[in-house]
Amino acid sequence: MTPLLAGVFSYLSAGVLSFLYSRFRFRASLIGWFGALAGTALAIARYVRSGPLVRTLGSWGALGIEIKLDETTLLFASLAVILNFFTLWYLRGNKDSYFYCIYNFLFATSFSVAFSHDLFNLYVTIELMSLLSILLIGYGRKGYQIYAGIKYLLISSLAMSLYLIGLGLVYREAGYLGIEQLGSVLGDNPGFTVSLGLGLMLVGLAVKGGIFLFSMWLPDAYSYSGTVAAVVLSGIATKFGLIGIIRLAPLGKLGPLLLVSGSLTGLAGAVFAILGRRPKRILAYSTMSQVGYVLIGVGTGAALGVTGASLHLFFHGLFKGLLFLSLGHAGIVGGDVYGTISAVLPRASKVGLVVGSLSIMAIPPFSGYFSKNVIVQAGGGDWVRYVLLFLGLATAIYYIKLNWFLLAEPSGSFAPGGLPLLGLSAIVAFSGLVTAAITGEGELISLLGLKNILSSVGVVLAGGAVLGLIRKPLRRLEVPGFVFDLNNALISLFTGILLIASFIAVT
Amino acid sequence: MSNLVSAISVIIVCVGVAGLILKRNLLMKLLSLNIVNTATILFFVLVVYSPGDRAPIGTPGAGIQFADPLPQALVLTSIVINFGVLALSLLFTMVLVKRYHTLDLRKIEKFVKREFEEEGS
Amino acid sequence: MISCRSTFGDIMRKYFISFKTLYVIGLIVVFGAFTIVGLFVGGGAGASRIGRDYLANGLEFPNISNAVFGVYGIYRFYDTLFELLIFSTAVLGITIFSDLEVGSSSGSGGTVESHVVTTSASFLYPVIVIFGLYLAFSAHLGPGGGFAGGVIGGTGILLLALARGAEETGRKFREDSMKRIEYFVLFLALLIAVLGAFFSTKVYGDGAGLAVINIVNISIATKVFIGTWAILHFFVKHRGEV
Repeated sequence: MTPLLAGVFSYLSAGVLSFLYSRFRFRASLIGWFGALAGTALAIARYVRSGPLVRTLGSWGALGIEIKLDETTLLFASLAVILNFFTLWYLRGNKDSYFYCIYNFLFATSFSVAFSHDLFNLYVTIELMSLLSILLIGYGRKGYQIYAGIKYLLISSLAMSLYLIGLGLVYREAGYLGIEQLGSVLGDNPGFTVSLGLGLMLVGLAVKGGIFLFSMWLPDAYSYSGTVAAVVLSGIATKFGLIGIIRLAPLGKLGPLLLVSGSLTGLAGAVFAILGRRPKRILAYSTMSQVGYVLIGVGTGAALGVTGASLHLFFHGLFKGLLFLSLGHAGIVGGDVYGTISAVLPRASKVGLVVGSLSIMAIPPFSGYFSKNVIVQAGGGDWVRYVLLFLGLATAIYYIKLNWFLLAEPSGSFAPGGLPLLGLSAIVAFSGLVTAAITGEGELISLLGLKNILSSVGVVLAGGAVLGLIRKPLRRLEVPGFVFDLNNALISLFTGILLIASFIAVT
Repeated sequence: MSNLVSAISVIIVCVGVAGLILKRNLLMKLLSLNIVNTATILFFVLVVYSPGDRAPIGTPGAGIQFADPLPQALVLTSIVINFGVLALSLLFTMVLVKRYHTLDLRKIEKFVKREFEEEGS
Repeated sequence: MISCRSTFGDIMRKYFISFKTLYVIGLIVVFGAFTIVGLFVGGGAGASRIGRDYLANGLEFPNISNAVFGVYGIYRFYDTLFELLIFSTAVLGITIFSDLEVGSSSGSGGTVESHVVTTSASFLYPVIVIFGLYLAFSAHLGPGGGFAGGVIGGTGILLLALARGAEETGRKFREDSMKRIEYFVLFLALLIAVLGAFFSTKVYGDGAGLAVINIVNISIATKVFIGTWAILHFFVKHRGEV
């Protein structure tokens, strides 16, 4: 992880330099990206050589900050590097220096959270990410953007205070902050206090991560923010909470809780997306639904499940980023899918939309196919299989709906600004195969078998059929807007706390 | 004894959360958020305190117990973070008030939704 | 016949309570109850397990008497670096929005029209700033630290602004030079964090250790000082009438 630390350093320096010397902001960001790429490559080389590592920052032994290098770390760092490259290419020096400063700092934070394995370091990193995100959301200075920003800030700050309370409870019982040390001290059966503390910490992370009752700020924040802000937010910033949950999951007996909340999140997100009308909002609900997949993967408790979850994080960041970039490139802000969008979609946007949707619907050989099927194979019980099947069906329904209406718009010409979109589409399309080839994991390669391919395609076709049936009544429905107001978001947060606390008390 | 005092700090957190949800004025919500954050810091300092602890400076004499230095350092960080959050939230509130001339959250939400609808079509 | 339900409804309407409010209060009470029960059930068994290690090891450094400084300045300096970054982000946010229209400030131009206040502020503020500096430099020897020192210095300058006028003080502390100093200091802290992660014993050992500790103190104090002044100055400049 010391190469990754160099990546953090290079991003931070790039940010500082772009702030101070505004003329060099694009070149400084490029150099920062290059440093991060070198760091990631070295870290991958070290991982291939020695396997997962747990260390301490500095040679202080147990007294320092604990860091870990494993597949989650590398996948997330690679995600950051790839998204950084394509958004830089898309920006081409368009925004002012403050934007580049925030942008570089955000990528530095994402590198830092990738290797963090310490409870308090997670807290500080996630707080930094929240502040940077609200500056990004409110950057356009429109009224609705500032409103979304302050809503996010209030909910997020409350959530992190809850995290801190949980941390206090855990520290009181266990006495350590590093997760590996905690694991060895807590053993198999943590008591009620530690479970409650872990539950509170989970709540704090869930608010950041996009889980159903906890992240009601998410649809507003995604649909109101600007293009690059939405890409970076949905591609990187929401994943911080999920990475925290992946790190914390082995500590307590949280498996069934994660399975239940994952299923709930997936189903709720899918229902919202089917009912939704505005394109960017549909994508936001879809993010909530995909987060359900990640939670189910972690909740199965198997190593295969965690691998599938990390893979899905990686691929989801890429294709959701691509989808948001396509919509933003076409200039779609609000509007209604069922007819009142009068936008001309450039060809690059259409290509990006199609590739992203095919990938998220898990059609082989696109990347989403691999991650979703790994999660399905991880097991967890029969009912989990049915939930995943239903989620696949629902995903197909709303993505076919989105594509049906958006592709019908007239095509624009091939603007040169669309090249990064094509590049990202290529990466999204082929990254699944490339990952399978690089890691050589048996499970990934076995997924190319005929039975799995047929079942995936079959699910998508069935989704299309269902959509055709329910098309008429669907036009008249809509998701109620008041659900996402500030007070109601907080109320649903605490309802979620009630559910989690009672779950912990019962088990 | 110290359990009781920590329980009181949890009660303060609850009061702050109640204010955050139930108040309609945006500035009152910010104030309640600040109460929640400060009470959380208080809770964090109190969970490891036993009566009779001294500040961890210098070498301990005979029979003097030092307080745990780790939560104190964590709390320093937390205070600075809360200060940053407060500054940014006040800034955004200021921008909102300049634009919509009201501090009532419901009215702001109505204005915002209408503005977004007009922009999108 | 007045039924029970309508009387209850009247009471609720009289005190402006609704079912939603009751639900919210119920949720919060349940949350508080769970946490307090968790506090009492747990035995506090593991408290200070690693705290004892910090106390024992921190005192082995020859230059340090304050164990808390050992924690945030040496062992967990990476977290302190991120905290400085958070502070920079707050100041960055202020800078981004600094081109808002200035509201109608009060006619006196920022000074208080009272000779007592002006004179006493004029001779008080150097004392306060020097005290802040002292706290910052003696972080490793006694209570205090860069954060407290920086904030005290910043509010001391606010007192100067009260004495001489906010606009004039703002002109004296020019924005671009403060920006450069702030980021230079951030860069120093970054360098120390990275070097400390790679070569920790050499960086914090004898000789170089004292210099590094002082650089840590100065960087934290300067950053917090400039940041506090920037934030306070912004809010003073954009104050308005209710």
